[in-house]
Formats: sequence, C-alpha cells, structure tokens
Amino acid sequence: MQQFSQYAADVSDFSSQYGSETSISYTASNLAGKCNIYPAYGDFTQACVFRTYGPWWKYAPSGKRKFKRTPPGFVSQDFIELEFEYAVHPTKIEIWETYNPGTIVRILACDSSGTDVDRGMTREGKEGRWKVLWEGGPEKSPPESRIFSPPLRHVPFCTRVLRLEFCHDLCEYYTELDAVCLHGEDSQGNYILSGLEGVIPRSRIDDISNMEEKLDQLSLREQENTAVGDDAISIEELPEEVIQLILSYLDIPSLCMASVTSKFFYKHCYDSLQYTELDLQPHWTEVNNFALDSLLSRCHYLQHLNISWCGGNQNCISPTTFSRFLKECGRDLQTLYMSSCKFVNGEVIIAVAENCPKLKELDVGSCQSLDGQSISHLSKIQTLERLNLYRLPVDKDSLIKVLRVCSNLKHLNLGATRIQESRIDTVMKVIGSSCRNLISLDLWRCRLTDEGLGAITENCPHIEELDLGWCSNLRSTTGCFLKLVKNCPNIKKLYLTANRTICKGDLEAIAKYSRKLEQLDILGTSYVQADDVHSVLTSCPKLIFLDVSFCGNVNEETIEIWRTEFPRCSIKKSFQD
Amino acid sequence: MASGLLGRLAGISRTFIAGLHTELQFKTRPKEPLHLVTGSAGFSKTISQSPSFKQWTFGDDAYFVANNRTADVIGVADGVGGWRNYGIDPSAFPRSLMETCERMVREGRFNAQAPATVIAASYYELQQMKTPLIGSSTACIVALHKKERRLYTANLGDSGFLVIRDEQVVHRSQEQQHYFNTPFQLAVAPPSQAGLVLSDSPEMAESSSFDVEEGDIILLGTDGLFDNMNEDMILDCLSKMKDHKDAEVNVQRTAHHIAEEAYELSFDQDYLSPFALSAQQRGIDLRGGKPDDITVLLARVSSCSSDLDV
Repeated sequence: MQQFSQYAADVSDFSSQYGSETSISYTASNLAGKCNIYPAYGDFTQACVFRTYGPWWKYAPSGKRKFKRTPPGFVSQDFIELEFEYAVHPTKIEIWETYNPGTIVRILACDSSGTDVDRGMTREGKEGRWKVLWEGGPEKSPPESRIFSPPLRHVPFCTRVLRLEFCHDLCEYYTELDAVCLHGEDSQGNYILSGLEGVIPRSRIDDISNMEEKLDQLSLREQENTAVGDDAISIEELPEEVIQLILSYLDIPSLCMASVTSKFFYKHCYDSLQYTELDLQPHWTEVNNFALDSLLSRCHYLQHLNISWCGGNQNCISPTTFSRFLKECGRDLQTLYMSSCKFVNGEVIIAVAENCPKLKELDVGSCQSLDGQSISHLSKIQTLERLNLYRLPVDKDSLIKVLRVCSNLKHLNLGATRIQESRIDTVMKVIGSSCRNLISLDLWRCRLTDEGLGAITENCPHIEELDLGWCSNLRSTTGCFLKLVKNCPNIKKLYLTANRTICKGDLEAIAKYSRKLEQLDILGTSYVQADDVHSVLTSCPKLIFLDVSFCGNVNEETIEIWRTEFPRCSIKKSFQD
Repeated sequence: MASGLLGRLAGISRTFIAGLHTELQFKTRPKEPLHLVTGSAGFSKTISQSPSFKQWTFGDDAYFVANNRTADVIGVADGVGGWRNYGIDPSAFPRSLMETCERMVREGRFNAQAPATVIAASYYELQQMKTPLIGSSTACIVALHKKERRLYTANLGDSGFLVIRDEQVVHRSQEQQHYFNTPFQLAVAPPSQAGLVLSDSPEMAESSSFDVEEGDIILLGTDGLFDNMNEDMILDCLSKMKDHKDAEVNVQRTAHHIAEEAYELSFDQDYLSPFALSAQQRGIDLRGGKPDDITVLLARVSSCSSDLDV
C-alpha cells in the first residue's frame, strides 16, 4: 500500500475559461501542474479563471431560462475535469484558491474500471461512473489565498479523474485557482466499510427487489381505515389535475422512483404532461443511453430540455441515441440547452435541424466534438431566437448561412469562436442585414474592426447587451464607440474589457446617451481619468455594475468614496499585488 | 568575417582532435545527455534606480534560467530605456517577457528545437495580461537540447551570445540593428502611439543551431557587456575559470568577474571601447566606455558524470 501525492497532470475538460483558447493566461489549463501563485493573493495570469462570476450574467438581458424542477441542492455553474497520472483511492484533495475563494461546491471522482463495484457486474461498454466525494454550498470566504481541503467520502474504487464543480454567485470578482493535489493510496488497504462514513447508497431506479416489501407496508386504498372517518380521502380520489400538480413538484429522479410504486403512480408519473420541461443537467452523472431510451416514451410533448454537461468524457451517451430521442421527441421542442456535451457532433446537429422545427433556443457552447461546418444545417430552422456558439471553431460561411434565415434572432453568443480577422466583419454585416431584432450580442475575444461594429450599431437599434471584451481591433479613434452609444439608446450592458483605447470622449458620450445603462466594464484603459468615470456614474442612474480594474488613473481611494456616493452600483477594482 | 574563417579552421582541427579524443574515451564515456551549469551576474547602470530588489533584473535588463525534461534554457532581454521619458517603467516589459518565457519552458510548452517560437509566444502572451503593459526590448534565447547535445538559439536585437571551445570562439550571434544604437526590438506601444513606435515582429528573430560538446562555454549577454568588452578580453576572463572544484561556484564567480570588469570599463572615459570604435567607424567622435545595464549569463556544458569529477 503506497501513498501518492500528485498534482493534476492535465485538464481534460472544462465548461468555460477567461483566457483565449491559445493562451496560457487566465486559462483552465493553468489548474494542472504545481502552484505558481500561492501564497500571493490577487488577479494573476497564471491562474485558472472561468468566464463569468457573480449574478451579473443572470441580470443581463441575455439571462437564460430557468428550468423548473431543478433540485435546490444543485448550484453548479462551471466545472473542470482533471486527469492525474496514477489511479488512487482518494484520501485527501487540496485545492489552492488564490482569488475570491469559496466557490467549490462539488468534488466528484470517476470510476472507469468498467466494473460496477456495488453489484459486482460488468457494465456495458467502457462507461465511467461518477461518485460525489464532497458537496457543500458556496461560501463567502475572507479575501486571502487558502488551501481548500474538505473531508472526503470513501469510494471503493481507484480513480485518476476528478471533477470540480463551482458556484460563483457569492463572488466579489472572478474566482481564481492555482493547483489541485490528489493524495491517495494505491490499494484498498485495511479500510472496511462500516456504513457510517457518509456514503449514502442510492437506491437504483431499476432495483426493485426491496420495493415489494415496502409496497406491502404502504396502503394506498386505505380500505381498513374507512371506519376512521368518511372525510379521509385517498390520493386516487383527487382530480387528475391536482395529482399532476402535486407530482410536478417532484424532481425527475423522485418522479421516476415514485413511478415504480404502483400502477396508479406509474400511470401518472409516466404522463407525458409531466415531461414538458426536463432539466437533466443536475443529474448528469446518471444520464446515459439507457436513461434516454427510457425517457423517450414519456417525452412526446417535450418543450424545454436542458441536457448540458451530460455524457461527458466517458461516452455514456451516443450521438445515435440522442438523435433517436430527438426524432421521437423533438416535434414541439422550443428550448435545447446542450452545452459542454461531448456527444454533440454533426450527426446530432442534423437531427436537431430535421426534427425540431419549432426550436427557439439552442445552446451548444463548449461542445468539443462539434466542427465548424456542422452548424450550417441549422439553417433549416427559421424560428431561432437564441443561439449560443461559445468556444466553437465556427466556420464563417456556415454561420452566415444560418444567420441569413434567423430574422427572429434575439440573443447571439459568438464568444471565443476564433473567426478569423479578415472574415468576422462580413459576419457582422450579415447580422446587421438579417437580425434586426437582436437584443444581445456576445463578441468576447472576436477580432472585429470598427467596420463590423458599425454594421451592428447602424442596423440593430434594439440592442440592449453588447460584450466587446478583449476585442483588440476596435479603436476608439475611429469613433466606433461614439456611434454605438448614439445609435443604440437601449443599451443596458456594455462590456469594453481590455480595450486600451477607451478615452474621455467615449465616457462623455456614454454619460450623455446611455441613460438606460446598467452594466459597464472598462477594465485596463489608461486614458480615462477619475472625473470621466464619475460623470458616467452620475448620468446613468440605473448603473448597478462598473468594472474599472487596471485603469491606471482611477485609484482605490476614489473608488471607496464612490461606493458610498453610489451605493446601488457595485464598483469592481481587481488587483495583482 | 576573418573570425568566421578562424572559427571554421578551429572547427576542423577540433573535429580531428575530438575524433582521437572520443576513440580513446570510447569505452568509458558513451554519449550521454548534456546539461548546463549556469551562473548569472550583472549591474544596473544607475545604482539605486528602484529600491526594491527585483528578481532576474539588472536595471532595465531582464533574464531567465529555466529547464524542463528536454532542454536547459537561458535568455536575456534588454529593455529600451527611452520609455522612462513617457512615465513608463522600461524594465516592466523585458521582465514580463522573460518571466513568461521561463514559465513556458518550465511547464513544457516549449519546442526546444525552435526557441524563436517561445519568443513569439511570450510576446503575444504579454498582450493577454489584464494590466496594460507598455515597453520594448531585445530578446535572445539559447536552449540546449539535452539528449541531442545540440544548441538552438534565437536572437532579436543587439543582445547576443558566444560559444567558446578550447579557449576560442566557435559561434557567435549576429547583431540586428536598424541604425546605430537602435537595435531590433519587440514592442507594445500605447494605443495613441501605434505605428509611430519602432516595433519589430518576433518573426524577425534569427535562429541558428549547432552541436555542442562537454566543456563548451556559452556566454549570453546584453549589449552592456559586448559594447564594453571585446572578445579577447572576455576569453581572457574565461581562461581563468578552471581553477575551482565546484563547477557551479566556478561559473558563478566567472560571470561576476566578467560583469564587474565590463562595469568598471563602462565608466572609463579614456578607454576605446568596442562601442566607441563602432561609433568612430561611423564618423561619430566618441571615446570611453558605454554606461549601460550589464547582464552576463554564463553556462558550462556538462554531462552528469563530469560534475562528479574533480
């Protein structure tokens, strides 16, 4: 029995990252390897940083639909998957948090051994199975670097793949991590499962051998108790609508478990009306081909589906199974969120295009298996209102083909899509001509120039949200920002992160024209003075978010004064030392 | 040019002698991987520019030493001091550049056979920092591919390196200048000055590679060194190097010795320094040393067993 301590060798998957896809600054891959920052506390390039934090993206016009039936315990917003060199029984995990700590909410370990240790049977295929090692709520931690090492549950298998899940609702600013170290033993050792270690055996849906006993104890008909009083009513006597309403409060696993208790419950729990909205993301560890095939019969009226994060690296869901699911159940589908789904490839997109004629919202961000051209199939759907292509290697012509038919498009996310400099302006022009109802546009790290921006601002007057963070080709001297605020008076969220050319004139224009402004980010510009920023604060009464980090002429003391003067506005000033 | 010929002659004779040498040593010394034993020294041109000591910096010069499984790498960057007039700290850019190179090498994101790519990659990374970084510098990187026993170099600007074997210079870098005292330089300009500031693309870096042997000395320095000491003087310092048992102490002491001498000469107003000679060749009447930040990195190519020898 040997003890191992190892840092993460590789980051195999993640939901989002701040840095650009080819960089080593603020990217997810920084979580691998040893510590570079600790014990320093601050905003450093060597850290692992996610794309978002806090409630700001929920408040923005592009805020996504909230699903019903999401178990309140599931708060994860981002994840990162780590691979280690040696498989061990985890005894301790240390996570170095070097900025705004307290965001880790779940730690899971993957068992890819192929044997279901609980039942001693070989599982089909090489599916991985995930076990939760620790879960807890996000916490507001004091602003200092720390090593987070929660107590772990014992798992009866060796693992070399961990997944960390994060909730950054409570964060003041981006949460940043330095390294992860996995301590463990290579063999079982003398550990004996006494059942008191917090391992909660989950009764499997298909494991009904105990159910018969429990059924004998339950009494649904209440035949013996009619003598007690005639006003005792059995659940079967309630109107159907009320039964449906009661069941609508159950989350999906509970609904499935209830369905095996009796024929009555089976009938009601399998009622297709219970499955108009399906949020599978909180249950991503359980969703596999078998689950999808089982759900198929119930989901003919499905309108909203969130299957993000399901499938994972372990090939639990095949594109064919999901395509089959869509064929049966896509008829009325309006919302389809499948971000960070490995199984989403060209085949799946074709299935979406062919089987979901009413689709309004589609999220395929961070789907690693999707190539640039496949999205052109989406041009079959003319009803799209939301399209999220975050981090996809989008091909310009395929995208244009889709945009030309999407006249109803309201929310478009092209963040980190790496469309080439020479081509992105053309895409902007197509958006300008086809998508005049656009409300939000995320162009994070896109290389558009003032020409492309002009095409948007001149043709999309309803625009309320524009993320131009790290768009390094936009120059204030072209007057593109002045044009923007003049032509788009409805703008509520404007992110100009790391645009080094933002100057006094731009802020004056914002103060003058952008009366509805709620969120503004001007990180990293050296050309604005404190007074210019102050005029924005006074002129924009609805401002609730202002990021002036790394603006050389706006210092911490001034900001403290502003914070008391404008208590409704959250003013952010990140730092490195 | 003459020195190039000499270098070649030295090379041929070296091969002949080395051939004999290796035959004799064949049974006892197989071709094992080499590594670098490094020492660094330098002086800032102003004694107390900034009160706090900054690692891997001498004034506006910056350097790094790093290694990974494949290679041992050293590099220097000479910051352009003119930025001080615009209220910008000229040492920030070269220091960040060298720090990023060091990180890339250490984390293995480095192709040992193409060090020019790490200069380019680090340069682009600098623009990914949230803090707006402004400045310019030269860059010179020398990487030893341990298993191949081969040196790969990349140079942009007027910093440079020498490779010395058997007390003779066998390789040297080529200086890149636009005009006198204006070397090629990587730059990130303030947005208002874009296009008005001299900024060379990292693709302008010149690369070279050649085999090395145990006992070779690599000297990497900024122009503060080479403008004040010519090659003969440097070779002279190096010849005094063999006297100490501990190779690392040896190398460190010699690096310091060279830097010290260059520093002293830089303030000698009558001395006809290489810088003065060069100026005079261009019709500029100049005499004396050139006060400048001086950075000297000295590395001895060794094999694992040689370190154990006395």
